[in-house]
Amino acid sequence: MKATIWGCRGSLPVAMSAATVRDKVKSALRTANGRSFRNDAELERFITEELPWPVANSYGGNSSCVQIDTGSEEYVLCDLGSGLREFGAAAIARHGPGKPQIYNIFLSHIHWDHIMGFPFFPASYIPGNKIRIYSCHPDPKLAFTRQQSAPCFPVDFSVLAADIEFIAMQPGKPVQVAGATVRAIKQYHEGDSFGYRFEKDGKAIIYSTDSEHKQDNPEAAALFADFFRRADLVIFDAQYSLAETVSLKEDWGHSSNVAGVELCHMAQAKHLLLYHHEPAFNDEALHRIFLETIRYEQLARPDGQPPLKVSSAFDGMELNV
Amino acid sequence: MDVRTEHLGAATIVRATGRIDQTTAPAFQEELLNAVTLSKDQAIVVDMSSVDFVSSVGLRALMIALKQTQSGGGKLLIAALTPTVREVFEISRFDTVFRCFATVDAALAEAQS
Repeated sequence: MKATIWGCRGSLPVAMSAATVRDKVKSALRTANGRSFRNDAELERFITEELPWPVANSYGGNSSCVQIDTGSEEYVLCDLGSGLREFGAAAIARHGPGKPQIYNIFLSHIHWDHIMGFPFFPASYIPGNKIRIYSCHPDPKLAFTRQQSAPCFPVDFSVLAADIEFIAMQPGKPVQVAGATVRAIKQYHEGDSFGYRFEKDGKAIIYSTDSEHKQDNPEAAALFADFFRRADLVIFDAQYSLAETVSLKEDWGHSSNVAGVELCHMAQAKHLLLYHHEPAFNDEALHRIFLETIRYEQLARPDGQPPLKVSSAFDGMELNV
Repeated sequence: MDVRTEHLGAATIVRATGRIDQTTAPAFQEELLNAVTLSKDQAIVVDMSSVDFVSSVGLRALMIALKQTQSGGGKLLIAALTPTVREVFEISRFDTVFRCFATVDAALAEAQS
């Protein structure tokens, strides 16, 4: 399987400002220090090997949207945040608008940042496309019709030409989709959210965002460790610091890098992907959190347990499992 | 992990040793909260000089103790973090929540001020 991150940002999409771009250019020029490059390959090598990652790159700013490639012709997506717009454009570019596709969507929940991309999803306007929206919430369609109706949006949900179906799902009752088995787990978040486990050919990817993990609830931790058990990739909400989750932002429904490491250690998962990044953080701040998480994994790793790989999601990132 | 409480003049010192994690944090939290109850409005100094590692549950215990201390008008001060535990405080941003002192003596001086 493969996971592609189309939107990694939490709560609200963000865009890089002109001032930030200038700062990155200045930093790169300072590092180059007058050097000349004979060709593109030399320049690429310099960018990749000599510039700090947050100078040469950006985590990006689209809100939650992840594609899970199961090897099937049918598409599988988690959440419909603003990252869906770019996914939709890529899908149209790949197939052309005239060839209908099947899109299977798994919704963590129906808060705005997780569905705001849908009005900008070209496939929903094209007859013949099938869009199946799996959700554990009782009436997810209500959120879609509300966001796509006057006075919030000029095109009413009812006029969308694709065949759109809402499919009720329940934790503990797996579904077979695009050749994968998908399970859900209820998470602690205002109005509830749900995480998903995708399994195929002995590999497992977890999508678990907008989920608060409380340190005083070992039973819940054991439940999630079971759900994450030996997963090849855990896409995990790490929006806040641990200190925030037990103080100012307690009960705001998000988790931390520290909680992610500890749960993945308990689960003996292989790879933790920090996700749902705080919109107030720039690339340097997110990169610092990434490096700190690698260090915390080293400090907290139980004796005899193999290292847990840690990565931090960025828009456009692809991860094979 | 071992944890003991000592009353010293105007302050109560809670001394922990070893690793504070999922297994040992309940005992650490119980001792801390007992110290908070018994200290009344006295300052509490948590001596971390012999703590090898503290996980999220241990940090949460400190946060609960801090909230209870502050609600009673008292102080909870952290002293003598080992390099590893200092790293954990920085990574978790608990260094922005707690007042941390390099030594127990420095924390006691603040407690008595």
